[in-house]
Amino acid sequence: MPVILQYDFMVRALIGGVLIGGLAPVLGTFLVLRRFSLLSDTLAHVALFGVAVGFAANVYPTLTTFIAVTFAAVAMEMLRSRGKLPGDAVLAVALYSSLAAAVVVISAAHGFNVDLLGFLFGSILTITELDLWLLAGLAVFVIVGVTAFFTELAQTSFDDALARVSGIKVDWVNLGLAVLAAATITLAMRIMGVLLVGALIVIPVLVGQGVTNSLRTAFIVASVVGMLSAVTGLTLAFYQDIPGGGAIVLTSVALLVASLVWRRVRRRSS
Amino acid sequence: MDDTPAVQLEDVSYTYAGAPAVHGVTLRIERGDFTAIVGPNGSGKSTLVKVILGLIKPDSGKVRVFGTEIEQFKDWHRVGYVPQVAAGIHAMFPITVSEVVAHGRYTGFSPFAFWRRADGADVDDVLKTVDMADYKRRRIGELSTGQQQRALIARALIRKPDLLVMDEPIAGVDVQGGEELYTLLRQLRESGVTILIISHDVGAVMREACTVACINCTLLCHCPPHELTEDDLVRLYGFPVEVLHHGTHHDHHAHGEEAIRHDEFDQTTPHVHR
Repeated sequence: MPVILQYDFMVRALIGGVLIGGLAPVLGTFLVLRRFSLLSDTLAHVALFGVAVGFAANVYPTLTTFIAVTFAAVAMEMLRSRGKLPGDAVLAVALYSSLAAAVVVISAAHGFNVDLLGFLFGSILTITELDLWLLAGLAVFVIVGVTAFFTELAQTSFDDALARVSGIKVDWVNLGLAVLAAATITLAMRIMGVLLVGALIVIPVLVGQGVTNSLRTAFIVASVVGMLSAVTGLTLAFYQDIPGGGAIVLTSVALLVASLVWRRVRRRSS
Repeated sequence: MDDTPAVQLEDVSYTYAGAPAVHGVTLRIERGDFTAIVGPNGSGKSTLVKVILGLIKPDSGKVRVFGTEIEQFKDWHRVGYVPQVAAGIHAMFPITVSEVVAHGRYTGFSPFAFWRRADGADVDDVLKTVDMADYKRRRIGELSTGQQQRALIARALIRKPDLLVMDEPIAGVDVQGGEELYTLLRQLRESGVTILIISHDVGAVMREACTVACINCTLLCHCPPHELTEDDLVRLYGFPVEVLHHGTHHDHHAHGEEAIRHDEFDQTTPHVHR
């Protein structure tokens, strides 16, 4: 048995990585297609506020984070869809206000501690069995939800008006997507870290978009790239003693660069 | 036969950014009609279509589609919509022409619908109809505006609509493509489809349509093209319009009139003089 599999914490990290790597790009595909990629980054900053509140109040941080991120995702979606503010302005306001609130709460709680740094930059040591069960449950929920409502999600992402004239409840689809993205970010940040979790939602999607014309295939490619990035990154992290989140993101960036080169070569040859 | 109109607007008004975009429009589009909405830029044509399709809620007035108030309307499989694609679809959006068209089959709440192994023959057939069969596996965002337009028309046609609504379908389409589109619309109308089209190509729509609705915030007139006077067009566009004369392709049945062969009288086509 390889050394990496002889440690329970690494087995948990690898299982969690595969689940997050497969899951995040599934939701990310719809966010990127709507040109709403920065939603994940904004929600990650809101997650920092949730974590800070959790530590300050001595409550399970995943719970406070999920509440904060879900509330922010729903509020942002409502502001955006009702045209109260432009989409990018909504993201900017949420990002800065949540970061500011997080700084205030952290300061009130007498500064950083090791656990909080783990949430910021990701730590493969912090993944518990409960986290894995939550991730597995979310994965099943997202896969069933996205599979069931693929047409609705795809049509809404392609053209909002066309979807409405197909009788699709676009506002509900958007809200559902925002809540699922919130749940994914909450659970993914344990491995990826608040500052890097958005990358796993966006970069594998760009690989999928680049290598295929079909939406269904792009989904599968993005998901596989996400899982491959997670396993490769965590393996590198273990053997090279580098942060897991950083290694995963750099692996996905390398795969993105490889896909761009492959696309250019394929175009030239055809 | 059910004589409920395909579309009925009663005193519809909509204000955008403090200014009236559409004001007091009452309009009735009969089943089987080919109605063209014409008017200058910013006259409220697209707004009116969005109101008809329930995409925006009017400040006042009632909208009915096939006799049902738009808020309660559920039969979206009866409505095909082709939006304006002048801005184009993003080239990076990974979706094939075939996938776009196939999505048009599904309306409302249809869980797992896309994953059931559906017969792709209807997609192939409708793509042949719009001469896009060779592009079915191409990414739609990488095609020309005209080709994207045809793909969206195929998407609308696959659900075999009773009402086809098109927002400037000729924008970005070359002359041949435009003529092919009008030939297709003629065939659809002959099969009983109600067509509602926004177009700046006034000459063509006056040749093809059975009724023309002139919109400039308010509805200035709604009548068969041959009843449209130069004064109407001057009121619509705000400058003198010279009328040229052409033959047409179809009979008029609008508003319960006795059928009149258009070939028997001159058809108006405005020729703009500034």
